[in-house]
Amino acid sequence: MSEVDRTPEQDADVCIVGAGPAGSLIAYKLASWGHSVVVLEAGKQFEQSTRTERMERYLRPTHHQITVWDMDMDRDRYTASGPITYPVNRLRAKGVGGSTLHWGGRVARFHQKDFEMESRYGRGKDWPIEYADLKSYYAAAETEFGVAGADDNPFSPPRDEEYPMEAFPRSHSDSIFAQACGELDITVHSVPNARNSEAYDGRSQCVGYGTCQPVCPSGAKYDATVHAGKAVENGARLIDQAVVQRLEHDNSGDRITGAVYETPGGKTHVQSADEFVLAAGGIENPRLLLLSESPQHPDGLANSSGVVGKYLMEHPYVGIAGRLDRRTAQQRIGFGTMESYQFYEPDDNARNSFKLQFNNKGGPKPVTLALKQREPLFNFRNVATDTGLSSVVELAKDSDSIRWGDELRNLIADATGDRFAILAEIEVVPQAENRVTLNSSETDAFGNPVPDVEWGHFSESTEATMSEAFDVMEDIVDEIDASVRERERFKIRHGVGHSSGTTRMGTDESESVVDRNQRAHDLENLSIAGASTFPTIGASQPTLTIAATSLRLAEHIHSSN
Amino acid sequence: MGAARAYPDPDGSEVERIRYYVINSLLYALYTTPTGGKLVDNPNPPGYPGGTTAYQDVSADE
Repeated sequence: MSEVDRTPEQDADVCIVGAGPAGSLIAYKLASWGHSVVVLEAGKQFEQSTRTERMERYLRPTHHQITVWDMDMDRDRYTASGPITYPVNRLRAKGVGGSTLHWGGRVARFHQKDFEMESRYGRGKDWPIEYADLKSYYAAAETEFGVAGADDNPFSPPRDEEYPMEAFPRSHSDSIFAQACGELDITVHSVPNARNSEAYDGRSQCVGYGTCQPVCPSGAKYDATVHAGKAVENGARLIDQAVVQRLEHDNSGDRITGAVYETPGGKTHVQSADEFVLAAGGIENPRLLLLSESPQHPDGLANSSGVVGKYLMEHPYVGIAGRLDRRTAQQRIGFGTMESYQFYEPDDNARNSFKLQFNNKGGPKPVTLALKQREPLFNFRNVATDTGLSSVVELAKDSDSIRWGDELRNLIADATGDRFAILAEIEVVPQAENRVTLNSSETDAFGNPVPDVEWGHFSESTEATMSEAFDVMEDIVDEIDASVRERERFKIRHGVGHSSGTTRMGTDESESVVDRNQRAHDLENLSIAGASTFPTIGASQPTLTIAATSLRLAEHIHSSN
Repeated sequence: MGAARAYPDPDGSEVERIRYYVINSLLYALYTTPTGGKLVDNPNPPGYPGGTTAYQDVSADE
């Protein structure tokens, strides 16, 4: 078998670091407009044919979830500090497609107020662009992804086009919550989903595997392999397992000249290009800039402001899970079909935004119980393995005698069927203390300092938002037309993989890293794509906005070259 | 031989591998299909491509 050619592309116009949604969309657009594009991706190009096997790895509790997409803990080593441990490698996927490989696929647009938090509420930072600047790009992003949605959300920002596909209908448990919300005058509506409710763009409609997060075997859920493939079809060169170590610049320090990358076997290459785009996510974008320090840029590239890595944001979640004395039909589909933006725009500045999500995946899966055989310590072993608590791992192993036949059937039936879960996505205020820095005391597989992620410094308004979200959800559960057999609050304070804000955009060069066109203030030919450029992130999943800003950035690079 | 008490490990001892490759593979096959799912009132359990209707209503199989 011939060896894969991972040597640099000659005469590249544009070098893009990262083949997630941002990098793949930009590569596709620029290649389709005739530019010579090369994409360097640290992870692998996964074969579509391996997805069923990856799904099985996810569903069988023996396997750690980070093995689903072959996370390499030596390549991707990190440290965590701050009040809350940020589990970087459980929250991201590395490979062609990036974290869309394991994402949920909710794709609401940011609201107008999300771009104007400082003006409206006196906290956070206004974006240098507004909703109107992105509106047409949002529509284009919805078409590129293929979004199933309905115009039934009275709180959504203005839109001119219908969604490309009809929304998925409500679930059985949605109807239970809708009735309760109706009693409380809480408006509920459909979820815009980047998954096919009908065949779209050469991909099948959803066939209901129920394992969207972390893997969709059918390809009905959008992921960025779609546009990575289209980029290649249009002439772009995609090099996988090309781990960029640093960016190099010319003597003046004004222009990037090359991306130094390492490939399997320890070979080092330098990719030159006229333009460079960093699209490696909210952790690796700032890390690469910091790793690229030089005499001309002693604090890291594009960091004359000193804010590279600062203002890390995420979306913590709070929720209530429990059991009813009626059937809820959970774990029959892998995504949400109803939510509420009623609490998205606060009347005053006492709290931030939150959004309600009604879950269709409450409680354990039948197969998990069948193989795990017990419910307590459900994910404990995985967590303990991740943090190196080997003695505790042994205790958590399911080495009790297994159950067979009716006994097992009864165990599963008793533990499923009546579960519910409701969640609230929480907006955080960007704070400089939440940040990505380099930890020189530890190195990765290439000898580079690892990223240290400091997380968990929350403002009073963020804490107040979680508190109010709990109050609203408790009221809803109280109104459910059933007896509530169990209820339990939970918090996911580390967030769900929406790392953002670490190379923020702005007009003031002393307070931001990139300008309104996502061009680095300090360098002539470096752009940064993705959520790391977002000054604020509301309480909505960021990927549609990543796509919209990336489509806009691609146009800017095209028009200026 | 102890496989019924062994921790399922594809790289483990013989009994651990039996638990993983034989016992748990059979249980996996059962409970990721409607055959096992219907035993526990779930006609489309995770892992089975059973379409997008089962989640919408329970009336048909109640």
